[in-house]
Amino acid sequence: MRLDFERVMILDGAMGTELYRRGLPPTAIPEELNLMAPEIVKEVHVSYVEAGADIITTNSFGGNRIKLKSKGLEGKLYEINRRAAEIAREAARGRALVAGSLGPLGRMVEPLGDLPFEEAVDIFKEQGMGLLDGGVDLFLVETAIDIMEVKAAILALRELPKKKPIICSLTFTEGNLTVTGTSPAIGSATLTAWKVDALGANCGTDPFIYPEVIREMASHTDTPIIAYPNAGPPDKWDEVPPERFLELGIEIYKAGANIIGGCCGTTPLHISLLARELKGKRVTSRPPKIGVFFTSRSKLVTYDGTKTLIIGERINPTGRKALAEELKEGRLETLKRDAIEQELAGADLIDLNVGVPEVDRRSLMRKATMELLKVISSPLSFDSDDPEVIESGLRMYPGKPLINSTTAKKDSLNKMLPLAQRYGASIIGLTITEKGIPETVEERVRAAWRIIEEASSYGIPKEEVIIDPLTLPAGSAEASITLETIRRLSESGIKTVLGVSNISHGLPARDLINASFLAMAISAGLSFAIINPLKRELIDTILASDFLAGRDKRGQRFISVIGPKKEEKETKPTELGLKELVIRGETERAVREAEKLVLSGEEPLSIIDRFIIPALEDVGDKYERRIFFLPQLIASAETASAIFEVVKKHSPRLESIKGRILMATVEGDLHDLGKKIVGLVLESFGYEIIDLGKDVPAEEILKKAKEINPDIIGLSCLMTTTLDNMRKTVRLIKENLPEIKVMVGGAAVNEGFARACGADGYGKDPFQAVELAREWVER
Amino acid sequence: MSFDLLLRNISVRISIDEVRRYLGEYRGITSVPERINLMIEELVSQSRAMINVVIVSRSLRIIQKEENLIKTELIELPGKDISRLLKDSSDVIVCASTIGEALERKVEELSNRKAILEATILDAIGSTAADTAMDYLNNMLIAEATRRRIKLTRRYSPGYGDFPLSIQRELLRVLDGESIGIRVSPSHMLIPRKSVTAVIGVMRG
Repeated sequence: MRLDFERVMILDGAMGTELYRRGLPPTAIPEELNLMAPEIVKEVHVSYVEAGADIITTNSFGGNRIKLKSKGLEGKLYEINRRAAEIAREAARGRALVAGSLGPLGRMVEPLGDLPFEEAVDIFKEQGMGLLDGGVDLFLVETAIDIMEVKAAILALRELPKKKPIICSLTFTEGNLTVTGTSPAIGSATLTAWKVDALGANCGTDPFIYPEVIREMASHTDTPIIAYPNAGPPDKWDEVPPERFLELGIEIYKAGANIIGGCCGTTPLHISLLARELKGKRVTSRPPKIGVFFTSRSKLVTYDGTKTLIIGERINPTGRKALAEELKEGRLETLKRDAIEQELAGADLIDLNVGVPEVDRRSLMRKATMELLKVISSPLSFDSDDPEVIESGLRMYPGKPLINSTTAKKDSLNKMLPLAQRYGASIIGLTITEKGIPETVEERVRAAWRIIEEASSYGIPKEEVIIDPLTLPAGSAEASITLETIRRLSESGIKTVLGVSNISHGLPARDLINASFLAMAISAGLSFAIINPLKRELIDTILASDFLAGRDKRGQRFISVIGPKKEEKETKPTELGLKELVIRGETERAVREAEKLVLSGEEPLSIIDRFIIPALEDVGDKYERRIFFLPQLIASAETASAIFEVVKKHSPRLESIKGRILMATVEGDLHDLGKKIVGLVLESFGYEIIDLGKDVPAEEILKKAKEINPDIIGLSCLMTTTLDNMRKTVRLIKENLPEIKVMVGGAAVNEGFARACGADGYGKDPFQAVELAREWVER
Repeated sequence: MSFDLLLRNISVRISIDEVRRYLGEYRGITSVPERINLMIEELVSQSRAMINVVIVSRSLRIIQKEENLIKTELIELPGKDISRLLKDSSDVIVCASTIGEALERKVEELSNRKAILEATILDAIGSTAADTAMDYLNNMLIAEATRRRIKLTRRYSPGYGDFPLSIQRELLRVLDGESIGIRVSPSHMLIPRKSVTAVIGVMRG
């Protein structure tokens, strides 16, 4: 028997749940039975073979060092896995293929977890060795939630002494994502790049997402697909009876799956119905896959000719002294910030070049890659002329990246192409030959074909090769040679890329030259642009050029970014009154308006009564009715406070307008922000606020109160555990300064507490605090 | 059994909707101006460099259940509510998440120079991130439970009902809180403040 991807093959159903059904205690681990009661394991296998399964899965899901160690079984690891394979072989007796199951390790690989990548590789290798010696026909890396862990498994299984087909299956939960954020499309594109023999999905919370998940995977790969859902959501394992499961299986078949079976909760009966209906059927044909994919753990970037893709060029220490210095010291702050900024500015891929002299660039590349995985989701372009530096980034990259670059020189091709092949990356090829940069279009095109042909001898299809026909400074070479090379290559369906900014080297008005050259290159057929995406005009040039070159059909993307056409006759902005400006929290305009009012003879103090107070009351009302939320309240208060400064400037004798309030967060409590918001609102109504900060002892509050003689003391605490300190503080103040009003607030406080602790009032929110203050001070 | 997890540097997706909800938005009632929206988006993207998620969990065997107390192999969990939550559980998973101190230092710096609006939004982003990190952990635990065909109870945090805040010190002791950078103040506050602790029951067979 062998894998046949032309026709549907049936995979077996659950092992664990079948063992539990036969009396395995829930605290025991199933793998132990391979040694203690192999006949029970074999019985389950046989029942699936008889039900019609073409592939059965070994009882070794948790047979790795980490999981076995937690049961003190790590000493028997090899035996457990070898036996798992042998028992399945005995049960299959040539009627079914045996798939060696490898489940998640139980510890997350870096950077999500703390398990070093190479250690994960070793652990999978160890388990794979036992399964291989026991005689498995293929490996099944299943129920994976982290694509990084899958990569470790694939590398491990490929390093075993004998090669067997590898199938990888991911588990998707809510939102059709793995819990680490990988979608079916991303998983499919990534595993395809890694050249697994089949890929797919199993387990998960909801079996009914499978048809959609499989359809999405199928439209991103030509690789065979495996699908084996649970027989129900986690709390209702038996919800999907065999007949209903068959209906689901048929949907999955129509979505394009090649191998179909069951996971948790499925029984031989489920499998026998699937086998009777689907086994041996011709596999559903898939829609043609369009484009080339680049992936990270959580992002898919597609080149399909409808958009010029942007490769952010900033992370390159050449000519950037500060970045070079930081990298030399092993610091990565600027590198991370550059990556984030470029991603936000619209880069599709981020180029990563750590080429500083006198450092271990391999370990720097590894460290930089790890750090970037934490802060950006764009796929990376690994940039170096040293294959070992490139490999140290590629090896633990959880996606499909780009290699930048090889030349057309023999030794460069021999070093770089095997990397692209082994790790499944696209590659940029520079049209540089042993003789240097060719001067004619014909020679550059010939160099390009040399790269493409050499790549194809390594099994790298021409879709994965992107040719850089080289940008030379326009002052010293003809730009038209580069442009014509692009035109010729793109007519033959070859993808191209340019580092754009070199064109203007040594010229004035560099930005203008760069943007013009970029537009011309796109017109000639350029596929990728290596640029600084923080230059807005370059991004805009690409948008406009993609539209004019017919890539962005009907200019939909252009319009959505640039905005629709404005009416020619611009209507004059309506004059907004000061009150409206305060409500909207538009500080600058409001201040200008207030200045204007004062200059036109308005009494400064009356500005407050005529505009500010009514505006704030309106805001308070809207806040109460939830039409406004907290940021709007704060914005208005900030605007009002700024206007008070204007008023004070024009009324020099004015100190506090309404009254003086001393505020503090009580001892033991570190929450400051809520109290500051209340202070700001009070200030905007004209009160003078003296804020002592947080974690303030009662004695200190009393001392300050005696010194400045406030009208009101406002105390805040957020934690129930600091209520006692609040009580103590109120008592101390009331004993010493009974005439000062005390207001309390904060998440832990309520009306009842306020009364019980002796405070004069409770401010539920900033506006209630204002009302209390008005009542006490303005009377 | 692996409900014992330690994950660092997870990039949590911060939902703008969730941040707005934290700031008091009521869907369909509150009208959020574009300016504030842009500000939130901008701060969310800036916040990524200030958020350093660590999540950790550890499962403990329950050895005795009383009406007001659950005794595990290492700690005791007091309260009627927690006893009710764990009445069908054989184990309890203790967990914690934090986003580190960088974000709250920035909030403090902003509020000290009276940029209260930015401080408030960033603070809400921090709260959202800490919750999202905990949700992330919860999802991983559910995935693990799903594979084992067992059920988990809902998540319960100190401060809910009669489950005292003071238990946070005990929870962090079994999780080795120091090593993941979470401390407890004398008034039972978690430092960094954008940290969450919780327990989840494991119901077997």
